[in-house]
Amino acid sequence: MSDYAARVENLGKNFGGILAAEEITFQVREKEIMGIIGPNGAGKTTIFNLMTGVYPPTAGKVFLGDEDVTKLAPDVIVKKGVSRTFQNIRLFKRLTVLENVVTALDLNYPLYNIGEALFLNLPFLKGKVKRAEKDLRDKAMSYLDTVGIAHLAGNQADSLPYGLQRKLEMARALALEPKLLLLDEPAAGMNPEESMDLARLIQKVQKDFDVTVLLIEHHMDLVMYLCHHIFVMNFGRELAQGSPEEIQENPAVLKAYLGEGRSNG
Amino acid sequence: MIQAISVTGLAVFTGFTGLMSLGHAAFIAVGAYTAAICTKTYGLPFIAAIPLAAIMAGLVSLVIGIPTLRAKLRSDYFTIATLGFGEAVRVLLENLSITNGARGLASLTKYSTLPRAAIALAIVVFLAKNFVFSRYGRMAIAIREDHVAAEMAGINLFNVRLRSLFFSAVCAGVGGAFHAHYIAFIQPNMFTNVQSTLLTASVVAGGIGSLTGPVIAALLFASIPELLRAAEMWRLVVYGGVLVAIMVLRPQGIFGYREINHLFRRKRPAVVAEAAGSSADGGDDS
Ligand SMILES: Nc1ncnc2c1ncn2[C@@H]1O[C@H](COP(=O)(O)OP(=O)(O)O)[C@@H](O)[C@H]1O
Ligand SMILES: [Mg+2]
Repeated sequence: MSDYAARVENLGKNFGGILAAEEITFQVREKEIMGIIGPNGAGKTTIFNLMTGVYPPTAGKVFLGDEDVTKLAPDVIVKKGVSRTFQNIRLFKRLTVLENVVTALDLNYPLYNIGEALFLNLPFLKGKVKRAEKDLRDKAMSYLDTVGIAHLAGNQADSLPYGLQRKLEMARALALEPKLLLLDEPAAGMNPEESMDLARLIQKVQKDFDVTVLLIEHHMDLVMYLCHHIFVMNFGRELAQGSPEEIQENPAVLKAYLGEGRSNG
Repeated sequence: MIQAISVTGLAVFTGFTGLMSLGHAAFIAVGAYTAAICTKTYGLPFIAAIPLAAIMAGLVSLVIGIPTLRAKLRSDYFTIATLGFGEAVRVLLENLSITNGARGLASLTKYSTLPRAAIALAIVVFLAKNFVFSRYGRMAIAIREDHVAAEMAGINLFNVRLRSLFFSAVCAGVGGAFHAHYIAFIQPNMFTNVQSTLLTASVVAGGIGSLTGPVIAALLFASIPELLRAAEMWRLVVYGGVLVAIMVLRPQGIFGYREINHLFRRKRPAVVAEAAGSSADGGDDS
């Protein structure tokens, strides 16, 4: 058993000439919260996409535990215990908040088969299918409760404000019962207060669900508060990695951030 | 009525996976020919010919579905592939001896009575409803809504899409069986891409993502040309006009993303009620 929930080795991605990622190597330790930071366009989301099989890397490897998952499709990687949220929110928009989570539960709780779905769902035969659907809804509710949007269960997903849509994405990702949870800018658009609330939620989720968390964020207060380990990217490459203290004092990081004229993103 | 059986299948496919097929006449044709050959050549009873027609159409759907869906063609390329497939099947029917080539099969027995067709439609709609409101339908909708997110929710796009295509082809096969034994005579040129387009038009006009909408649209569309039979030449013009009017006035279709019973309620009732923790069950078997 490896001490690492995941690691990437010399990962590279070339988008027709644009080197979105190059020679990226890092490890995510079991049960830690690790952060990836860097200016826009640095290649952070690309790393998530490579880790989840959205597209294949042009170089390097991705490991989950000891297993090489580099060439696997997203739905297979999910089955190996990785789930994620998206920077540009990707919900099932016209489904309800609750149905978004129920959809994700199917992976671990395929409670009935096609024959039962087609033929057993008679009004006078309120058996297995009905019960299964009820169980799924109850279970989904508990995830909505975790992220604090249970009262919105019946609303259409895209009717929620963006902050809550991000929380719904988190609930959906948790419903997949991951070992490794990838969060892409979960606090985007939040004010400092909201983002610290979210930080506490992420901390709670990490403990309660016993997951490893890898997150991309621009809110430095959140990152410094939450992360045990930070990886800094710039122009597709590693700029630095280390503890929050090390990163805050790293001259290269300071130069990249101050040189760009941004305080804390 | 018979058209509506096939449209129901297509409504499941197009409306709930978001892929557009312009080759569904091919599945109707396969169903029609299979059933006709069963009753005429092998003397099987109609009731036995229907499932065979359904299965044959389903199997043929795998022939087009497996390569195109596995390749994860973009939806517009997929549509073009189905267009070519529809033509290919028609040409094949014209050249096989068992189908009697371009002359077709004549003097079939008229087994398709109105009550029988109505029963078949009811069964198909019932099954389609169960399919759509099950985990299988939910997975298909998830793909329609966002295929990247669906895949990241562990959903296998290929399996779900192929299953939906198979289901819709089976419905079309049943529709074909009834069609053949209604007009008692089938020919390859009855199953052209124009036919496929009319099916898709019913789905789009009735509302993508709805079952009852397309069925109602199919029933309406089937009766409009009948009513206008006198003005033969104006038939398709009026038809086109109605379609254009629907698209302009209600681009989401008559019942886009809704079922007829939902029009009378605000939100998705069953889910909301139970989500709120009330134990009130039922009321959602539409
Ligand atoms: N699918 C894609 N096709 C082409 N270029 C892409 C694609 N995805 C990302 N890029 C490019 O890769 C670079 C890194 O993007 P991204 O990983 O989204 O950065 P970040 O998440 O750090 O803001 C950018 O220059 C972006 O334009
Ligand atoms: Mg990004």
